[in-house]
Amino acid sequence: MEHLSRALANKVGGALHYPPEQIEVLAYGFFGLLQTAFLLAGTALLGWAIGAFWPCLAAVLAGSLLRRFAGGAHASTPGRCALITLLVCGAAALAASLLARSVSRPPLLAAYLAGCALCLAVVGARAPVDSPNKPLLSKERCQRLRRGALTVVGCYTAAGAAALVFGPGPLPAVAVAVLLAVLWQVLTLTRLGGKLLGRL
Amino acid sequence: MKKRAYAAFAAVAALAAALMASSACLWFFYQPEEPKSLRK
Repeated sequence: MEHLSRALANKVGGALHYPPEQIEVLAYGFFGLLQTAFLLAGTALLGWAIGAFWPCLAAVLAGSLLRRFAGGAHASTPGRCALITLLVCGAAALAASLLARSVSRPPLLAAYLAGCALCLAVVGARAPVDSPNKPLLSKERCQRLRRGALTVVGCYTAAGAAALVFGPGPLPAVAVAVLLAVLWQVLTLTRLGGKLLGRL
Repeated sequence: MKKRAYAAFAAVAALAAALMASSACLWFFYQPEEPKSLRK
């Protein structure tokens, strides 16, 4: 995917006579677009295949949105990233569907709120976590990102609780899938998560 | 016509890069090296 995005950037930038720095920016942008499209399509297809379309899609979107603010440990290659994303979202969706069918709503709601409290605590303590490829140099930016991450988890808490109390149909499974994906993201903020992803 | 299409692609890619630069992470579990011009 990096080769493809670099090739696209060279073609587009070359035709428009951009300098090398601008072509580098284009390559970065194309990579983001391609990776997003590929992973969204992949998880949608996986979700449909395993009979948990909405929980799978919700897991990938919720986890990714949190990740934009909180950062976290990374895989070493785009291929491993894709595999991890698909496995995590698929597993979260399947587990969520199973839990939503077999556990009644009051204990599910209690567990959901406990999980969200844990996520808030870890995000407040650890976020944002940067990477060598994208260092976070400004203190103000870090504070802004931490506030954003806490806001995102707060919104998930409120929306998920409402879905578990009032939600019909697949909404409870969607809420639980969101929590499981967020718990995985929160794990990647910790040293244990960093070591785990480094090994994968 | 072709140049307009390229300019449109370039604008979309540059917008995507700018949005990614304002976040802590790309989207998923892989982070390519961020261009130095975007780090400022």
